[in-house]
Amino acid sequence: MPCAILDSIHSPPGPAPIRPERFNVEAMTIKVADAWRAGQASELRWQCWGAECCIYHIQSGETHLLNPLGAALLRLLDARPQCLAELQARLIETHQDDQRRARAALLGLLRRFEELGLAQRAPAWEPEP
Amino acid sequence: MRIGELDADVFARRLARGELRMRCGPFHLRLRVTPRRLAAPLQRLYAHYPIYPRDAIEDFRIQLDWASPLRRWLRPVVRFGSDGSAPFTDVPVARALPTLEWGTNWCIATRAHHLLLLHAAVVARGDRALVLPAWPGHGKSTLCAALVHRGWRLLSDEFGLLRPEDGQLLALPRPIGLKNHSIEVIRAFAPEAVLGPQTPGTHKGRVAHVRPPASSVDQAWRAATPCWVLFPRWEAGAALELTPLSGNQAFMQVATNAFNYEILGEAAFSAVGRLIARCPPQRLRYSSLAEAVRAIERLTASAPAHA
Repeated sequence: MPCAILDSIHSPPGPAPIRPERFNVEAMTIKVADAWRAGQASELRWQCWGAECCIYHIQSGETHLLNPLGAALLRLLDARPQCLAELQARLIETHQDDQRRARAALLGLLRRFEELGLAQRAPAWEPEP
Repeated sequence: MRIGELDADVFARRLARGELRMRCGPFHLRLRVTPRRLAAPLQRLYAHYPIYPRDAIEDFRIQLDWASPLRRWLRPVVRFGSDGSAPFTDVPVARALPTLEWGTNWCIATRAHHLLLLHAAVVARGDRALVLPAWPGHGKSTLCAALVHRGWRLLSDEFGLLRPEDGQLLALPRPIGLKNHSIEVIRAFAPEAVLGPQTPGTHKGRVAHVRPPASSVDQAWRAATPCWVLFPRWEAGAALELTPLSGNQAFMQVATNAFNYEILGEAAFSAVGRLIARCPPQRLRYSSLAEAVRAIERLTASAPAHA
């Protein structure tokens, strides 16, 4: 099968991995707590019909079918690095009604994106003023 | 000159000596088939193909020989080869003809990477092409054979040759492979269809090949623009149903079924995307071949959505 289908990603909820090195212990703010970014914009090609999208990841040579939440999430990350709380705030209103389920789905997607090389945890990141 | 115009003995000699050169769509095929009993059915099946000159560049050199001198007489077995390699296990001579067809398809699928090879039948009215992608067993070849005997031009039964640069579909009018009950269905639907001999006991069951119409072979130089994408599915007893399919689902089905999507990578992704964007995909469920053909005639009678 040449294409990995990402359509049905709903990874079981679980706690987000805590990586001490990613915390700014002094500030203990959102500053570097859990920020994410997509791979370089030039690495992705998009074909969209409706809210779902097919993407081609140049680096891996894989094609993925993203469900609406996955497509919206990757677009947000593609625009600029964002922290988990911000992503959650942006996506929950439009895509999920249950806060806990939404957070779990979001974390699941981010982890899957990370495995696939589509997104990565961002290094030190400053929230927009 | 066409293959059918050769004297039968001349054809058989050329075939046995590996001097049969025929042009099929964009490809030049040079054949050597040593079992003499295959000469007559092959000349009938390939009758309309033009012979290309000796000094032309050959794309594929294909052989079907006795597996060994002994196996010519003792439980006769043949071996398919291409350019010195024998990629398949030997088969009884009774299955030689479908083996030659499938083997030739395999050579094209594994080497023609300047084109995106969709797993789809493609037929056209003039320069407007209807693409029929389908999984094996969904009735693609049966529907394709029916359409080409109702005035559609055969571009291909097995490979949709999509040129990534401009999205045009090239013609490769090879014989159409039919399986099992489809053979009788096409005989009844189009009595004028010319079929090769039936071969029972293959891994696909009983098979026979339909000769491509002369008009399709004559126009094999002519590319076509994709205008409709239809996913056929034959189901016993099903009422005719023509329903829209989401672009994403269609994209993934076409991409995952293409023979060399991974090899072409980004170019293939763009080409499939343009194809689906240009031709709003639909799904055709049917049990009656006549009804399906009528539905396709109605669908394609009007201008395509993008025109």
